[in-house]
Amino acid sequence: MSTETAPRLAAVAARRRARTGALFRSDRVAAYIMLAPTIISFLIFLAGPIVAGLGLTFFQWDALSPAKFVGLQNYQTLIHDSLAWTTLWNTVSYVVPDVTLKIILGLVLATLVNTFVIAPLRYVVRVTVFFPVIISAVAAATIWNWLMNSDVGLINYYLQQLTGLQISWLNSSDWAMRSLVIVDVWRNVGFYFVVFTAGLQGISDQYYEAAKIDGANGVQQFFRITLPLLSSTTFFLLIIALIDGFQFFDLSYVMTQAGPGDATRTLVYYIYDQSFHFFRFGYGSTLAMVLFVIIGLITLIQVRFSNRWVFYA
Amino acid sequence: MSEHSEGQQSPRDTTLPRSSFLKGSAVAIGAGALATTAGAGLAGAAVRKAPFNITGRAQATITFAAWGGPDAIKPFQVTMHKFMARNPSIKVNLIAIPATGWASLFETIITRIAAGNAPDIIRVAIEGIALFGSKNLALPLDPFMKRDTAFIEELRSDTTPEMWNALAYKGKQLALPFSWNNIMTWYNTQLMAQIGMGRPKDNWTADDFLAMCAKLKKMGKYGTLAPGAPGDGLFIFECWSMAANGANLLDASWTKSTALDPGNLTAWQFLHDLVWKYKYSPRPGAIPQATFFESGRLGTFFAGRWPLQTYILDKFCTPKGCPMDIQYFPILSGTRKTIIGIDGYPVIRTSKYPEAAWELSKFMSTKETMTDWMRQGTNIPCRRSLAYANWMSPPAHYREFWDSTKTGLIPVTSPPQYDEIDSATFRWFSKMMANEVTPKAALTGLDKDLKAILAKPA
Repeated sequence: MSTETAPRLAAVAARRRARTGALFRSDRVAAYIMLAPTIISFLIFLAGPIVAGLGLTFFQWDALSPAKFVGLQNYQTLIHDSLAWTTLWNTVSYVVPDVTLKIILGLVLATLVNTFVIAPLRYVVRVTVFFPVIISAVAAATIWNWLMNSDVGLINYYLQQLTGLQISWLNSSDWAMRSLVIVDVWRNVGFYFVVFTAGLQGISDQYYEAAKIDGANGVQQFFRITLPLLSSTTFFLLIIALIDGFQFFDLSYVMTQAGPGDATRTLVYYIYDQSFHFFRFGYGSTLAMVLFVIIGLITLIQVRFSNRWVFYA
Repeated sequence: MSEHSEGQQSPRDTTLPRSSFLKGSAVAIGAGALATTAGAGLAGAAVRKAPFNITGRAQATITFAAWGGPDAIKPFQVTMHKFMARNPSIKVNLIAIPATGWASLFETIITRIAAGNAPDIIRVAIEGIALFGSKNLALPLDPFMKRDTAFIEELRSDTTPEMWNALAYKGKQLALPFSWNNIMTWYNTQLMAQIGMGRPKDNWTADDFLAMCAKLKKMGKYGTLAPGAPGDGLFIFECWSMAANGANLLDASWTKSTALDPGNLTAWQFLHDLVWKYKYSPRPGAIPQATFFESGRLGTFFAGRWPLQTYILDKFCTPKGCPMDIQYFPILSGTRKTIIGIDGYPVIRTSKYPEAAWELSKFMSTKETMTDWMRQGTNIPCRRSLAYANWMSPPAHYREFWDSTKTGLIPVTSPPQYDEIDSATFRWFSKMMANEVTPKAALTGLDKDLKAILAKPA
C-alpha cells in the first residue's frame, strides 16, 4: 500500500503525463517528418492526379482551351461506345492467356532449373531466361516484327519448310493478339522465373526428405509441398501480372498499331487514342477511371479469396 | 495504479492517429486536385491570351522544333548556324522530335504546348495546319507579310497558289511554303532492265503495272509494296484514289465524306488484289521499304522525294550511280491527279519572340536554305526556280517531280479532325488488307465513321 498522499500521487502523475505527452508529441512529430517525403510523393504523384482525373471525367477538355463542365455526359458516351467495350474485351482476351502462361511457364522453368540443372549451369540459365526482361519493349517489338512478318519473317520461313504452313502472325485478327501474347510472355517470363526461383529456395529440404521417407514421388511432392508453399509467391505474381496485363499498350503500339482493324486495340490504347490522339482528355479520363475500378475490383477479389488458398509458412 | 489509464497512448507509442492522417490527406488531395484542374484552365488561358509581342532587336533565344532523329535534323543545323551568323541578336535552339508520322508529331507538339513547354517555331505539314488553325495555336503571319512585301511577292512569284492556300486557315496565312512532296513511282532500274521493261511510259496504266509485277514475280521478286504499314498516313492511301479518276475520301471542302466514290473502290480493290489475288506485294508490315528495295527484292515503291535521303545515307544511291529512278503514278482509271503535301514553319502563338521567329520562318523559305536542305535528298523545294536544279538529281528524271504539277494539285485531306480521319482510314484499310472485309465493306464502314467524325464540332 502506498504511503504517498493522493495529492502527491496526482502531482506525480500529472508531471509524468506532461513529460510523456511532450515525449509522445516529439515522437509523433519525428514520425510525421520521416513519413512526410513518402506521403507527399504519394499525394502529389498518385492520389492527387487520381482525384484530378476523376474530376476531369465531368469535363470536356482538349488541353488547350479551358475545360467545359459536362456532368455525366462522358459516362453516358461510354455506355453507348461499342468500341470501348470491344477494347475491354480485347484486353481481357489478352490478359487471360498472358497471365496464365507467365505464371505457369515461370513456375515450370523455375522448378526444372532448380531440380535438374547442376549448380554452375543454373546461373547461366537464369541469366539467359532473365535477359529479355531488361531489353526495352520497343527493341523487342522491332525484332519480333521481323521474325513474325508473314511473308519474309524467319518464323514463317521455317514453319513452311517444316510443315508447309504460313501464319499471318500480325496481319490477321485471329493471330495478332496471340502474337502479342507470345512476345510479352517471352519478354517477361524471366521475371516470374526469378521470383519463383527465390520462392523455391525458401522451401526447406526437410519437407522433401520427410515426404520421400513417407514414399511420396516427385509429382506428389510438387503438388503437396512445393505448390502450397509457393502459394504466397504465386499470389504476389498473380496480382502483379493482372495489373500489368490490364495496362498493356507498348507492344500493340509498336507492332500492330492496334490493328488489323481494332483487333489489338486494348483499353489503355483506347485511352491513349482519346486523350493524346484526339485530345479528348475528359473522355480519356473516364475510360481510365473504368480501368482503375476494374483493376481495383479484381485485386480486391483476389485479396478477399486469398485466405482460401494462400499459405504463409 | 497503472501509469496509463485506458485509452491513453504510451509514451513510446508513435502510431499516427487515424483521424489526423485522414484529415491531413483530404486537405492535401483536395489541394492537389484543385491545382491539377486549375492548371487545365491556365494552360488553355495561356495559349489563348499570349500577347502579340513586337520586340526590338534585343537578344532573343528561340526554340526551333523539327521532326526526326539525329540524321534528319543535320540539314537544319547548317541552316541554324547560317541564320545565327546573319542575325547575331537571335539565338536558335534546335530540338528534334522523333515521331512515327505527322499525327504523332502533332500529338507531341500539342502536348508540349499544353504543358507550357512550346517551341517558338516548328515545322508543320498541311496535315496539321487546320488543326493548328482551329486550336488557335499558330500566329497569323499576315501582319508580318505586309511589312516584308518585297520578299513575299518574290516568293509568291516562285511558288504556286495551291501551296499558299494549303498553308492558310480561314483566310489567314499560318506558314510560308518551304517544301512539298507528291507521290511518284520509284523503280529499280536494274530490275527493270532484267525483265526487259526499261522505263515505264509516262501514261502507263494499271494493266501495264500489273504486267511489270508479273514479270518480277517470275524472278522471285515483289512488284511493289502495298500501303498499310504502321505509320502510313492519309497521304499514302489517298494517292491511289487520286490515280482512279481523282477520287478522294473527303470532298474539296473537307466537310463531307466521299468514301463511296467509285474511284476509291477501284483503288482499294486494286491494292487488295496486289496482296491477295496476284501476290505481287507482301502483306503490309513494319519492315522498312528501304530494306526490301536495297536488297533487290522489290521492283517499285510509291513515295515522294523524301525517302531519297535514306538511300543516299545507306550509299545505295551515290553520285557515281543510283539504280533507282521515278515515273508518274500508273493510271488506275479515268484521269490521274497529283496529290501533294506541303510544309512550312508556323510561329507558335505563345512565342515570346514572334519577330525573331518570323525572321527564321522567312529564312527557311529563301533559295539558299531550300538548296542547303533539299540537296541532301529530302523533299522537293517549293520554289519553281529550284525545280530543275542539277542537285535535284538523282533521280535521273527529277524534272518530273515539278512536271507532275501540270496535272493539277490536290492537297492531301487535312481538316481539323485529321487525326481521327487518319486513324479511321488506317483501321478499315488494315482490316481489308488482312482479308477480313471486302474493299466495298471497308469503304462502307469508313464512310460511316467519317460521317460520324465530321458531324462532331472540330
